[in-house]
Amino acid sequence: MSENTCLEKQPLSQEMLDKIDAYWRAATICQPVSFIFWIIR
Amino acid sequence: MKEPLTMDHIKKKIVGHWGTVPGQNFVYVHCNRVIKRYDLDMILLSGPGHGGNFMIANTYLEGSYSEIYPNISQDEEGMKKMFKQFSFPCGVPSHCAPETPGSINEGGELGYSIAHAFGAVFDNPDLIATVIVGDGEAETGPLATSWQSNKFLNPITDGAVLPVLNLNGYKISNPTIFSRISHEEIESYFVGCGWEPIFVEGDDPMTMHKLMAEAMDKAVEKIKAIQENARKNNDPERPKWPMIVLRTPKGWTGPKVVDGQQIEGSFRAHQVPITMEKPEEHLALLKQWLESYHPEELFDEKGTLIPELAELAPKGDARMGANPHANGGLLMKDLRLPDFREYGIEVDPGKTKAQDMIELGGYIRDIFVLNKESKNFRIFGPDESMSNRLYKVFEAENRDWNADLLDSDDCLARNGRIMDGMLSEHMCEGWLEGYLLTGRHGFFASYEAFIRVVDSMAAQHAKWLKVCNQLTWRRPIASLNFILTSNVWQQDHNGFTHQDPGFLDHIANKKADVVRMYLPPDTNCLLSCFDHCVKSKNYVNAIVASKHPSYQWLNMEQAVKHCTQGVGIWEWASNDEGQEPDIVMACCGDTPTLETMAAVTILRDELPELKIRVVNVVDLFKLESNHKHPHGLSDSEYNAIFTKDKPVIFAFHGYPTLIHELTYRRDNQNVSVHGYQEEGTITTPFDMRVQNEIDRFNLVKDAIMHLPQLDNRGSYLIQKMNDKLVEHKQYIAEYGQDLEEVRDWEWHTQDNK
Repeated sequence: MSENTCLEKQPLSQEMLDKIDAYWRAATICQPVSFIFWIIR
Repeated sequence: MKEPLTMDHIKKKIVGHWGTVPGQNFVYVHCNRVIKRYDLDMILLSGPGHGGNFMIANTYLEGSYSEIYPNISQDEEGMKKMFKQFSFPCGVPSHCAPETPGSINEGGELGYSIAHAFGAVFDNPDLIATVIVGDGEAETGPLATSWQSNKFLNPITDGAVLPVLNLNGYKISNPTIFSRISHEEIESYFVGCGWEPIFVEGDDPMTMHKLMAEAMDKAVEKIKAIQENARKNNDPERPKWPMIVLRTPKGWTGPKVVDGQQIEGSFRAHQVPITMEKPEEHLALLKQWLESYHPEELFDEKGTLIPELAELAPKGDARMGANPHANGGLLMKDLRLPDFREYGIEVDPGKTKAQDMIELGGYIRDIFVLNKESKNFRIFGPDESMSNRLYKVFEAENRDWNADLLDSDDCLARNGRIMDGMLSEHMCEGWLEGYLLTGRHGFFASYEAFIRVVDSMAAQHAKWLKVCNQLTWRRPIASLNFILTSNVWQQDHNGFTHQDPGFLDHIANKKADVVRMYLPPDTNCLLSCFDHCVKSKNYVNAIVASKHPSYQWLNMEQAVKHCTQGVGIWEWASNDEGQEPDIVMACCGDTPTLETMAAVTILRDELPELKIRVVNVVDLFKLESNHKHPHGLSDSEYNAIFTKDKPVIFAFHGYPTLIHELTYRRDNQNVSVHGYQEEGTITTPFDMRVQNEIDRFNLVKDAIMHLPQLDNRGSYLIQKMNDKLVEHKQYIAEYGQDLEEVRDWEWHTQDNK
């Protein structure tokens, strides 16, 4: 990915923050599921 | 979430530690951003211990987990397996265990994360080790002192450690101290420890993302500026390194209230916040909790993270789960080693005296010289390298020190490789473990008694290695080597507090695949043992060595043979060749060897018809069965040395119970072990042995009493030994030193007096 298109290399933007939050939610939802679910159909 | 939740979906036993994971996920994703933004080489250490599945989840999302474990694929099928295996029988542990890609700090036992991180960045100038420090962990002794590690970091030749102290406010059921003191107190504390704290505090996710992104940018840019200035201007002076104080609610984004009790932001978020004891009500809460993350926006129909988010993760080895520094064996290069035989000394057995540790120091000095370019060898010790007689290493290297320097200092330098400037066994051990885990070499030289301070750390490392041995993707790393000197038997001016040989008992109980113990009786044997240990991989090696002037027994050729075999009959000291021995005089350790040899001279002088076999043990695990330890002798090999039934008078360096434990299934149970009996004080070296009945006079008495065939012929010799013991006590009380016949004793036979 070039310097121009890599979002991380740009000044901090709302798009970046939204994506960070979404990625964080994706990681975080894995925890309760790991604790609690023994199978997902 | 494709169908209504029912209790059929729920694990029968719900386990996990939720409280810490949102904060750790938060740090991981922000690390990902700065790795890409600044093209960083970064690893992450998780100090809080529990919540290891945060690292599994993040390495799974970035793809590194599935590369190592293809069954945990990045789709619905793999996801199911990942969820089921967590904290589940035949699954994976709940901490950042060796099974977790990217981890070098399991965190089950708290307190070692920052020390491991510093060990990782020593001699790794381009590496940043980000460390999530739990606020519970921060209350442990090792973690509390590890903030001082910044006084040993060289901004030119070392990398950087970026601590992120995650104040989520609670431990298991108590608040944490850092969370209940003021912002100003926290700031003053860390400024006082030489850090520049950056605060990120709040609970609104989007506000916090912005604050954290800015804090990470500030911290990384500060680190880069420090390093650029230091490297451009050859300025190794200690800077104020940045750190982040991240205050977030415990169990952030989890259920707010369950059964009328606050969960998020309280100690009740520590483990699983919803227990499913009220199925209908709790299933609804669970559904609400999971839906709050909007998984339908994050994963596609196949259960794969959507591309727009997947692209946020770094690529290749830049992913923290794939960083080769966290699988140090991938980067490890063998040391260049001099030929240890060239450092051996000439020996007239039982007459020559030398200081084993001084001679070993010459060999280690030249390891430094040969590996100067590689910069992959350091030695560690709590201000004891000089005391432990490693004088010669200072001919090649200095002590590392990055606090103020005075003209009167000795051998301190900004780029030293002798890490003995901090009087903390915890830091020495933690730094060394971090250094080894990232693919380098070293050893820890300690007073024998005070290695007990890190018993538990050594045990944790042994557990780590035991698991690594079962993981083909974890490449072997250099062994964790301990040299235990300033040992129990000579503490002329230190006394009882410095007398504890129990580390051997501790190590003896660890997994046989991992642990080794060596007790070389003299210089040439020490050189041979050390050379073996420093070349070995994936072991915990404990060497017990003498530092005081002591008797020498074997020339180098004999020493190599003896140490290679680990145990053997000293035929030149025995007189039973070709016959059944009447008695076996066995010894293990430098002082027990001396007293056994002295006892043998008395027995051979007084009872020349007695057939005596002298056996010396270097490799302690030789005594254990080969069914229990890979070094163990078979029963037939053991019987060939110790006989099936002849009395064995065994003088041992440590506690006698260890010898009984190692030999309890052998045929020959006619063994009388002499060892440390927890008797001691400030006294003469020989009196220490008398107090613990490991001295030559008590050994002779015991030998006679195990030989009923002597009848009354032994009685006068027993009387003579008793008289000697009284004479000894009177002499040391009068003169403060040992009897002349003890001080000037030399090995002899009747033919060679």
